[in-house]
Amino acid sequence: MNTLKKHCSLLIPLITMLFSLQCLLILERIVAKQEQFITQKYAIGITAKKPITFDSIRSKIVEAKELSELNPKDSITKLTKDIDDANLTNLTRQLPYFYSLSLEYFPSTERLSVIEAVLKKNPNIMSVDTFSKRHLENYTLLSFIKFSVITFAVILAIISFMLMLKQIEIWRYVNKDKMEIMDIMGANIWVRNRSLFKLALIDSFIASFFIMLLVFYVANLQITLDTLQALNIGLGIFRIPPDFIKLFFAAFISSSCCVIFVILSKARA
Amino acid sequence: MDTIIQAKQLCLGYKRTGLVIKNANFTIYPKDFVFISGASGSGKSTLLRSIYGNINVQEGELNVLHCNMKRASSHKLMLLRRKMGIVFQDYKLIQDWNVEKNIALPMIINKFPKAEIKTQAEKLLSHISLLHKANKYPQELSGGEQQRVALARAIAHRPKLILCDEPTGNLDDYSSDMIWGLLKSSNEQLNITIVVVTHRIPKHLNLKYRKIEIKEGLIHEYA
Repeated sequence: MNTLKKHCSLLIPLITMLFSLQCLLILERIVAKQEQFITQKYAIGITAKKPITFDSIRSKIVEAKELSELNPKDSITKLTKDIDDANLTNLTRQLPYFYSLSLEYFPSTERLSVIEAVLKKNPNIMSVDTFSKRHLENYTLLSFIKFSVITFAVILAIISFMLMLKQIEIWRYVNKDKMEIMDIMGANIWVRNRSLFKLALIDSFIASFFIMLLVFYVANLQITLDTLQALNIGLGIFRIPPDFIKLFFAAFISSSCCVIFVILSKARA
Repeated sequence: MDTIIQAKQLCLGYKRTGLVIKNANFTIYPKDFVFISGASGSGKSTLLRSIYGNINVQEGELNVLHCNMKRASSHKLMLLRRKMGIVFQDYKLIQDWNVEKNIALPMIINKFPKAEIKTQAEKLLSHISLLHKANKYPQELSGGEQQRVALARAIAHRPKLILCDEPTGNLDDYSSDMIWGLLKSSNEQLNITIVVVTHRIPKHLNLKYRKIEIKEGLIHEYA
């Protein structure tokens, strides 16, 4: 009973911390998918006096992915009813060149302004349309989601860390006599505190395993599958083996940091 | 001649009470069996604590196993303590470890091979007649049995010096005799130097020993 109580008091803050970290990892993947989706749909409109090449754009804008020329014929066809052939040829000849520039990733508002300025410096380019309002809406939404998730995770991590610190301090107090005896026998700091590191290691493993079981369960719920399908997001956001390793290391490093912090603070006192 | 403990003009004390031991001069040699006696509060335990580096030397010099206790770093103290065995009146056994593991502690600290730890622990358990209680925990043993375990732990890593602070203070006559017998055999057969703080020197020990008495902070030695 005592052993269970001893483990639970560290396991609860560890599980809380790992849960927030797991949420952060999954949400980051969802946001990345959404970002990719928006990036695929997003393109900058360019109107040029003379034909421009992709290489000339790429040399100045590293994130340029593809430059495709837009065929104005579709728009013109709608107008052909009232214009004769001679005028139509004349009109087509005088029309500028239209391009759609797609990017490798979704740029920030600041970067988008820089891209616009760079494009406008090109003497052959007449106008650039970045659809900045729509871009700003999308970008702000993504940034807000990311910021909220990170803030939530950081707050939870800090609270969990403080709880873990308190718990390890209690453990150390409980084991005070044992450590004192070992000190008198000439044990080094590692041997004296080995039981604390052992507990940190075991609890980190249990907490990571528990979170992975939870993720596995949630990933297999029908409601989760339906929601992900509706959002057009695959099950790829749940990566159980690599996440288990990440969570285990995060838990072990943070709980070991707590142990080291408590040891050093007591050694100085 | 080689020395185990050498004190020169040694002064020990605490901030609150002032000096407890004043200008002590004595030398303890290998294989010596030394009793430190005196009235309660005379500074016997203070002297013993200074030998294992639990309190600082105020003035003078104290060398223990060639380690200058005035200038010893915490690392040197740690290494020095590994060469000693210490027995306390309140046993100081680790309560959540069984008897065998408690005896193995100094061997674990001194990094003995696992097989040797096992053999040595069993040998000692048999020697103190507690082999049948190897898996018991300290709270399941009587005071005398706990002190035997503490003594077995003190000699497990074959130290050069054993320090005992009132080792029989809490024990009945039967258990006390057993402890004195074990200390005597450690001194005679294993050639370990023994320093015992006690206010009651056993009369029937049948051993050549030295007696250091502390009176009003001063050290007096009797053969």
